[in-house]
Amino acid sequence: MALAIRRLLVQSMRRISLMLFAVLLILVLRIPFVSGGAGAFIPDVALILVYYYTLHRPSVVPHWMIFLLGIFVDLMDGAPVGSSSMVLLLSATLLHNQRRFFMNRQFTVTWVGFAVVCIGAKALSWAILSLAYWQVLLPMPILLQMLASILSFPIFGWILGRFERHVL
Amino acid sequence: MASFGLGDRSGTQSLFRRRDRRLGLSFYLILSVILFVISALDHPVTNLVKKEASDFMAPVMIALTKPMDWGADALDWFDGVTSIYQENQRLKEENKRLQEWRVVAERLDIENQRMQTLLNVDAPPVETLVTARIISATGGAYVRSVLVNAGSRQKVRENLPVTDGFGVVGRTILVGDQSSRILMATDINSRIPVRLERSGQNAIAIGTNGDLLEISFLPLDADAAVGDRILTSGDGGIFPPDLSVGIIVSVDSDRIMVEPTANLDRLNFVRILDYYASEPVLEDLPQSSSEEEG
Repeated sequence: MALAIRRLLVQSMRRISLMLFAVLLILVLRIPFVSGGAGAFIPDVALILVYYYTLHRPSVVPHWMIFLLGIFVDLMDGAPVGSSSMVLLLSATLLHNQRRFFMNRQFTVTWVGFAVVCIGAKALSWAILSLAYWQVLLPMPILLQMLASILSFPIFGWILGRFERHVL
Repeated sequence: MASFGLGDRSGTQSLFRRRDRRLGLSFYLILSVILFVISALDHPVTNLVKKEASDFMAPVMIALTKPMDWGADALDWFDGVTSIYQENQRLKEENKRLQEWRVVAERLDIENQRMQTLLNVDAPPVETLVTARIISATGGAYVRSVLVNAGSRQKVRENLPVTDGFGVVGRTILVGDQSSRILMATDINSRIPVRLERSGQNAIAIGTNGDLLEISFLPLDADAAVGDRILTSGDGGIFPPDLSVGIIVSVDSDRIMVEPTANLDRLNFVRILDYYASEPVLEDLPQSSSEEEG
C-alpha cells in the first residue's frame, strides 16, 4: 500500500515537473526577441515535447496533460481554444500506435519520424484553423513554423533528453 | 497452469488499460472539440478566460523579459561608451536638422489650426494613453497578436488604436487588469478603414496573416499606384484619421498589397492612443457657409 502511494507520488511529481518545464519552454520562446510576422518562425515546442516523451516516456505524458498543454498554448497565442489540443492529442495517439517502430533506432530515424508527424500535425492545424476562420488560409506561415520545428528538433531533443535523464 | 493464469490476468489488465486509454483520449478530444466550437463562435466566456489567463501569466512574462532588458541595456551602455565622440557629432548634426524642421512644423501647425477654424472642425486631440512594453510575442502561425503590460489599471479599454513611432500597429482587443492583447494590423481578423492619401478614395485594409495588408472595397476605377501612402480614414470610430498605415507595394488587376509602415517585426514598445470618436460636427458647415453667402 505504502509502496503504491509512493509510486503514485513519484509519478505525479514527474508529471508536474514536466508540465512546469513545458510551460517554461513555451513562455521562453514567446519572449519578444521577435514578434508579429516573425511569430511564424517560432518552433512548436509543445509538439516536439509530446513527440519526444510519447516515444521515450509515455507514462509522463497522459492525455489530460497533453490536453492542458494544448489549451495553454492556445491561451498564450490568442488562438481558438482547443485547436492545439486536438492536434496534439491526435499526434500522440498516432505515435503511441507506432511506438515500437521507433524503439532503439538511430536519432536520424527519430528526426525523420518527427518531420512526418510535424507535416501531418501542421496540415491538420491548417485545416482546423481554416475552418475556424471560415476561409482558406495562406499556407506560408504554417510551412515556416513547420520548417522551424523540424530544424530545431535536434536542439530541443537534446534539452528534453537532459531533462529526462536528470529530472524524470 | 499458474503461468497461464498470470498471463491471462496481465492480458486482461492490458486490455483494460488500452480501453481506459481510448476512453481518456475520446473524452479529451470531445472536450477539445466543444471548446473549439465555443471559441470559434467567439463566445464571451472564452474571451473572459483568455483575459484571465493573460493577466495570470503577465507577471511571469514580465519577469522573463527583465533579463533581456538588462542585457540590452548593458550592450547599449557599452556601445555608448565606446562611440561617445561619434555619437556626439551625429547628435549635433541631427539637432541642427531638427531645428530646421521645428520651424517648418510650427508654421504647419499654425496653418493647420487656421484651416480647422475656417472649416469649423472640432477634431479631438489624440493623445497617448500609455506607452506599453510587449511582454509576449505571438507563437501561432495564424495569429498576429501580442500581449502588452498595460490593462484596465492603466485605463486601457478595448478597441483603442495602437501605434509605434512609424504607423498603425493594431488595436486593443482583450483587456485584463494588467495586460492587454493587441490585434495587429496584419492579423486575418483585422479590418482598418483607410484612404489613399493621393486620391482620397476610401477602402478597407485587411490583414492576411502575412507581412502585407490587402486593400479591399476600392472602386474599380480607383487611382492607386505603387508608392502611394495609405492613411486611416477615421471611419468606424476606432482609428483617428490620418495615421500612417502603409505604402502600396504592388497593384495587380485583382488585388492591391500594402506594406505596413509600423515596424511590426521589431516591436518592443507601443503607444496606446486615448481616442474617442466624436459625434459628427458637419451639420454646422452648411449654416456657416450660408451665413457667409448671406
